[in-house]
Amino acid sequence: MGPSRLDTLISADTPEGLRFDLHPAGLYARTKAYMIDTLIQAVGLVGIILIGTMATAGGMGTWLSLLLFFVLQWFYFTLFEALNRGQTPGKALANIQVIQSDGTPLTFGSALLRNLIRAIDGSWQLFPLGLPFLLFTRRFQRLGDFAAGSLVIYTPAGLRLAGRAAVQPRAGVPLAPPFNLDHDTSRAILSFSQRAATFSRERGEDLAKTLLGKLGLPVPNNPLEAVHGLAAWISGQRTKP
Amino acid sequence: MTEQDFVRRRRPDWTRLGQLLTAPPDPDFPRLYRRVCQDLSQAQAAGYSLPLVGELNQLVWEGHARLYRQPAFDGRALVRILTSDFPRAVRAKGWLLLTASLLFFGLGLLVYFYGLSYPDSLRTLLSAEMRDNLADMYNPQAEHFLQPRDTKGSADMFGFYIYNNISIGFQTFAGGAVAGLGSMVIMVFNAWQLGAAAAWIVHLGYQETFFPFVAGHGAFELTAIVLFGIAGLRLGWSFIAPGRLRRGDAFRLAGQEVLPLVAGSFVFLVIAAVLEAFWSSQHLPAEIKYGVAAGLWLFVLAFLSLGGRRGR
Repeated sequence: MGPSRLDTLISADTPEGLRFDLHPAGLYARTKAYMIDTLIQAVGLVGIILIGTMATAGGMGTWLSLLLFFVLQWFYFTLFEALNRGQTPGKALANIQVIQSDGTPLTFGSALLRNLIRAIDGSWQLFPLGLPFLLFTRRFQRLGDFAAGSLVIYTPAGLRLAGRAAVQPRAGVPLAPPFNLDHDTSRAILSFSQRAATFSRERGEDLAKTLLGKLGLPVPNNPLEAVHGLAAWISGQRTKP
Repeated sequence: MTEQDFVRRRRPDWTRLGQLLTAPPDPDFPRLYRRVCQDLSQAQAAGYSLPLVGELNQLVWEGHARLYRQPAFDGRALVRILTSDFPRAVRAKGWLLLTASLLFFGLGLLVYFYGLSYPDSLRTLLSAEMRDNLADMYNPQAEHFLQPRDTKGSADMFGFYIYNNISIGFQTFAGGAVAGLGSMVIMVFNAWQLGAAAAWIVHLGYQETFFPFVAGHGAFELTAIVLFGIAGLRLGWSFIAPGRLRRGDAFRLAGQEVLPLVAGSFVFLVIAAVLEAFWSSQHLPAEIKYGVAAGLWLFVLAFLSLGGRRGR
């Protein structure tokens, strides 16, 4: 087994020789999207029944209702994902989208595959079949995603909301690191500085002390301030705010 | 070059690319996009601040999605998938074709002949409700002759067949994702029900209404269930025996391979629904019904065994 990972980021290679980071969406965001979509489908179903009943009373017959019901049940996800940049209305509200796992936009075939297999691993009746895959695979792919070669990621808007997007400079006294920090280390320092507010003061000091120690830096009296200073420097700040 | 200089010098291009992202296709876009890719590499290598790298990362990501987007809908490609990739995919794995045919046609015939020999067994093989429905549907004197109870008219039947049959087809395929088990269960269940139903109808003496009715659309309908079954089994088998690939990769490749099968079988079931609703329900002499049915079966068999044999 390789070294344990700091985060769930994965990267995609482009033909330009670049790699960029993708943030796979986990159980919470996807369940939220699924619940919204199910609600919309339910409303659609009620609408079809109401209109269908009126149409039948007007001598129309039930065939149209049956066709619409079929499309709503089997193609709701496929059509939205294929035609709307990998987003159903629920996914749009949850700020997630489906893409191919190589980072390119979702193809129609993949949208079809992942949503037909939804009948097995994504419907609420058979939820237990899909759940372990969502929880325990590296990129949170369910069976349908594996077959389609697709991936559900946070959209830029979703990342901003989750505080995972480009980090804003922190107010603090910038502290220049005595040596060049690599990309991953910089990111670790930045995200720690961001999250520090969610720890108790003592815990934050404690972790900051460990962090500075790992980096081989002297540990001052207020290690938390020092880490915030490093973060301010990394985020591009060079003078006092 | 300091970060500030870099940003000052390059910012106009980034703004322009940002605008082009939502604009109609522009000949300038690819060049500008690749230039910004270079900027991102430079910013990463020079260790510029993370917010800047993040911003460029975002810009490149959106540009990438725009530049490498999937080709728009292509009618010719769809025709090729349906007329040559589809029959090829059916023939690709002979043993899958054999397995699925045995599970569905083989078992169905077995249950049918068993039911004919021991009609009493049909009372356990079929539910009482099912037996009543069948008696009702195929009784030449019945009010709902050739139609389930709650519907009226051919168009309604068409809607019903689309909804019901294609749902079964899709489930047969999707069930394959769990190591092929779901596909097998659904095929076995349907073969058993259909075989027993046919035997029950013959037992009741209604075969003159039943066989001319099902012979025609059966060519597409029954075959499509087997084909959906093949697609499901192919998916499941890639999980059981991935060969030299990792399971995830084998599964993904199988997914790509079965797409033409799924698309073609879907079209088969739509054709079957049209035939069943508008042709099979016609009250014509049995000779005509059987003649057309023979033609349809020949067409299906010829199409599946000969289609797509010539080069691309």
